[in-house]
Amino acid sequence: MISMIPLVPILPLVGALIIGLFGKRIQATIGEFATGVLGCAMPGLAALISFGSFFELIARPATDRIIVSHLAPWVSVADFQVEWAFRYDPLSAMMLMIITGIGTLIHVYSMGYMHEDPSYWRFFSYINLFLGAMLLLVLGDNLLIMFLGWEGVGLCSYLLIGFWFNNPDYAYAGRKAFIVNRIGDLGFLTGMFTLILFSAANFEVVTLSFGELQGRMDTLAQYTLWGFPVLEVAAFCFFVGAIGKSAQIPLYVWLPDAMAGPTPVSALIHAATMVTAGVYMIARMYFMYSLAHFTLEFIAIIAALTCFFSATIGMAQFDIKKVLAYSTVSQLGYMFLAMGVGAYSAGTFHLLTHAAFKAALFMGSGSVIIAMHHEQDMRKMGGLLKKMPITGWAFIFATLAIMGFPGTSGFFSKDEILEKAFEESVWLWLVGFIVAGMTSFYMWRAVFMTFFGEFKGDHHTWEHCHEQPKRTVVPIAILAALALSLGFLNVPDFMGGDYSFSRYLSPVVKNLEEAQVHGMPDSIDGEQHAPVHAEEHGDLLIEVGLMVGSVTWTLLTAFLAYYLYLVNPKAREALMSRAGPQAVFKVLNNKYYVDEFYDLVVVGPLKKCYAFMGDFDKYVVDGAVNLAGYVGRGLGILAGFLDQHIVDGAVNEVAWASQTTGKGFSLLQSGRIQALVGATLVFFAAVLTVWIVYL
Amino acid sequence: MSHLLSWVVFLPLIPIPLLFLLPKDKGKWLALAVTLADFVIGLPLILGFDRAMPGVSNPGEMQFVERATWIPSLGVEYYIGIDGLSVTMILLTLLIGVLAVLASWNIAKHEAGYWSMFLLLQTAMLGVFVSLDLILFFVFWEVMLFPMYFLIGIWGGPRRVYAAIKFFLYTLFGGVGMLLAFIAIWYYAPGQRTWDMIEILQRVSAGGHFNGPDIFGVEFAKMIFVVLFVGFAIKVPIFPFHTWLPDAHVEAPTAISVILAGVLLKMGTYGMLRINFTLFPEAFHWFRTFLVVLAVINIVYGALCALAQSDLKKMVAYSSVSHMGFILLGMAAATPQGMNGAMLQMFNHGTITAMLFLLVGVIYDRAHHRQIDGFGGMASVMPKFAALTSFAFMAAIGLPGLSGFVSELLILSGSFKVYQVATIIAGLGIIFGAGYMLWSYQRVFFGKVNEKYADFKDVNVIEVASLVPLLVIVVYLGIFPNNLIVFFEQSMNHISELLLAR
Repeated sequence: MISMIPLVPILPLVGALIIGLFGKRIQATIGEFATGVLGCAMPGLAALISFGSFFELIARPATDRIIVSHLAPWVSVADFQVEWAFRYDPLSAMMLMIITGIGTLIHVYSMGYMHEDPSYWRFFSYINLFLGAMLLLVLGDNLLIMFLGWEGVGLCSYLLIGFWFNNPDYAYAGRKAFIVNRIGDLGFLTGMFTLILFSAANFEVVTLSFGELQGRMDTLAQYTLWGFPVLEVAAFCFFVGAIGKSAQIPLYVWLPDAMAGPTPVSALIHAATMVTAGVYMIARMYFMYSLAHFTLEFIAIIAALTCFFSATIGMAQFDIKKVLAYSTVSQLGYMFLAMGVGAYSAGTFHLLTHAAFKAALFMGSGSVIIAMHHEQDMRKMGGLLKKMPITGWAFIFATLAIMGFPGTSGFFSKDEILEKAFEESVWLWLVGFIVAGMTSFYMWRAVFMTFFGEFKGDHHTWEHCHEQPKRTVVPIAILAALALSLGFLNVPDFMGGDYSFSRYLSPVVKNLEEAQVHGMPDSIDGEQHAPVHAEEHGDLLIEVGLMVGSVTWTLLTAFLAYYLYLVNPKAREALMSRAGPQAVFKVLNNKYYVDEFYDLVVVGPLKKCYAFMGDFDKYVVDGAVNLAGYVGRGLGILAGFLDQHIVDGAVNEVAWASQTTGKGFSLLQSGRIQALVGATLVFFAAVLTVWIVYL
Repeated sequence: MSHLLSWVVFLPLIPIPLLFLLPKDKGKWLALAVTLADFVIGLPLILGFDRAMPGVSNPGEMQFVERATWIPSLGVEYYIGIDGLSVTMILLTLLIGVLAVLASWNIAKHEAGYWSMFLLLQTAMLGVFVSLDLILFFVFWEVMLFPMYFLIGIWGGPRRVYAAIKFFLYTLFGGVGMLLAFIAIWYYAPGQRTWDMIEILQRVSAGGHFNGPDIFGVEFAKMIFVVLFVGFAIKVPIFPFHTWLPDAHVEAPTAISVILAGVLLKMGTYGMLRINFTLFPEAFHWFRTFLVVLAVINIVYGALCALAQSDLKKMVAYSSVSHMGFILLGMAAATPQGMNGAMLQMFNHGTITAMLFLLVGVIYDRAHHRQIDGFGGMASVMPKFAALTSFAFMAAIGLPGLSGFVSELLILSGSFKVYQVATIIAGLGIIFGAGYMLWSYQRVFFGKVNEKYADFKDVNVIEVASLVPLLVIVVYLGIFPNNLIVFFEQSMNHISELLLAR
């Protein structure tokens, strides 16, 4: 199976091509269902290969789990030699399973969700393309292929956000996503150029492959650029890319708007896979980040801020998808917090669990939205659990996971992050801890507003509201089950586990503390450097204390949501009618007015700038050219002996609307075409003569 | 076949008399046959080209050389030949020629005149890329002006006359300086006087110097360098000499815009590489920082101006200004990556921009205007057209996996080695690029369907036939760029050495 790994990205790409070219015809002649099956086929095959290969991979010894397949050269110029090559190792194997597994489920789910959409085929073409690009991103053995995937997923995100392009707002949201991502991409490129620059200066060939980069880190660490260590500069630049792609402050603004896309897209691209690319990138290049301490600290701070602010916004949204969107930004903040404190395996593990529970939440919300006839406002919902039991319970289980209820996947992953943050700094931990409570609050708020209490929409909707067909709810149920269970992959040792997930990743991703203990970073020698655990450093009591603390705190805030939204809504209304809370709410509901702020300081001035440049070009630069024409004309008249034709030319140039022009050229256009033809013939004859004479 | 190169260059001229004998509407078939035939006889040039020979400064390494005395009294020769630099441009010219015929399928005004001008233009462009004699180069350069002037001035849009004269005078202005510079080069060439540019370059690279006097208090080499640079910069065009370009594009018929952007602009950068930079490496270093500044201005300023346009074709024209800036940036950096990237960009910009102008032509043919805000929802009306346009726009934005990305990557990584800050500023051009492309795409194709245009027909066979070859090339070179790079890599590495050795 492992030898078939290159097929994994290629299959969905082929699928995208086939559906893109023939999908419309297939849908028109054979039918929608056939198009959907075709759309699911390639991701399904890719998933089969991914899972099959995974079992082969873990059957290998830990030291032999990096398989690089070299396919063909890509760009070769002098010492710059980049290939088409894929790298299959524990990290990419895990990502492959997330992407193809959840991807296939979401494809199946989409067959129901996109039912009766006239552009059904186009949807499947795009989303196949997305899978292909995302798989390239994680499988690429060098930075350039990663960047190819990185931009490719951005393109698909753009296409899918604006999928219903006749709505100008949706089209705008797509463009916003693409351009904000481009800002980040410039960072990615600059990081890459920095590495190329210093790699080429010290070695004969630059291939940008991860293996090569890892081996060169010690050399590159000796140099500085603009007064900073090279690795800090590079790591920082790449993180700028991650800020864009993974929606961190200050570039997170595109993600909430991205919810304009169809809900399966939000689940797959804007929650489970694409937005985690930044986290993946740091894990992939952990060897560089471990040598860039300043950047790591910066990442931790950005992450904590993002985590906190987006959670506060999430508490004040009414659109169910917006709640989930801000929750995603906030959870991505958790992942980066882990990366920032050097706990790469913890961050990656949260990436995995988050993919499961957030996909379940989004798909659940999509199921609700369809049942509610495309209503997304939670204020018009309520009591839906009775009508949609499978969706409802799946949503509740996923909520348990995201709040970190003991035993669920979120419990293990979030707890590990908080513990690692605590070891680094109490302040980082405190932010993470507070946000955990806020997460629990806004998620239960959404649950209670949607699935419990009285229905608040109109009678007609309630009558028609029903559970969705199997192909929609079964994928949700599977993901909810995963959301509950995945945590057992990485049970900490003090609870009787052995951190099997971290152990699994350790041949390719070593946490900062291990790296420091064992020296950096050339060895890829697996299990003898098993993760170093808290017992060796800290206190069992602290670990248990932290855990109990956060569980209690999340339960408390869940109860608060229960009280305010279900038991005693009057108390909430009374509270919200006061001026202070109302003002706070307004700020939060309007997302701190960040979009407005950007319009004011970036978009507005930019608009003025290009409008000015356009006029400058038209009146100043071109004006100077025309002025030269005027001067020529004036001189011509004054001197009077200049060749008539040159003057005429200058006149024509200047007075573009004048009759002079018309007169001069009417000759040409009417009667003198023969003259032109004659001139051509003369020239032709001359050339021919010369040619014949000497040939 | 002997004289293969001459055949390729002059073949388009041969059927010109026939054009006037044929019925009016058959001219396009003849033109199509000729450009296709030219492409076919050009293939042996490309397939038989020895990629291991850099050429450039080695007369012995020029390939398919033909040499004969032309004007004995002046020592001017008919001297043509190709190296990696020229062969790429010839391939591009031959290809664009065929597609431009398809793009002119609907020309219905003085057909015979149009096609004879068209074919003459083809010969002139090919001639520029093969000439190794300074005077021969200059003749082809000026001959190119003549058909171009009429093609814009007669078959163009409402302000065609203004645009044609502006184009003509501007290029002529550069050309006069160029001729004077050529004469100076000939007169003060190291060693014996000659018009042979390869010979002079060989002497220069062997340490020879121009022994000319200071001109207006400026060193000879610097002065000649600047004069030549202005001449070529007008053609590229480089800020502030670029304002003829938007006018010419807006007024020119679609096919002529395709040729103008696809091939003509490259004559400027080709000339810089072949004559301007390499003959005066010291002056190049003296001027280099300024070149980088100009390149960055072109990239960013062009992109900002593109954002400000309301006419779709003008927007594309300014995007050309921006993209040509990348070529200059790569050449100014002069590193192997920068140089090879510049050459690759010359080819890629040719194909991608040709697509863009063809697509603008498609919508203009139907709506008879190009106001970006005058459309809306066209993606629902013309889905195939929308798909092709989004592809071309993405290629222009530099999406990885397509050809434009590879060349921009090489240029930027090559220039980052020398000019970090300038490279990052140039990178802003990439962001603005996404801005103007997607913004105009959104306004034309997304949103509510404009009822006025709800009955537009999607792209027809001819239009698809002109676009698909370019699409295939853009994808192919995005995935396997090496298959083109090998043609010019030795030459460009050699130029890089020549320039950086000083």
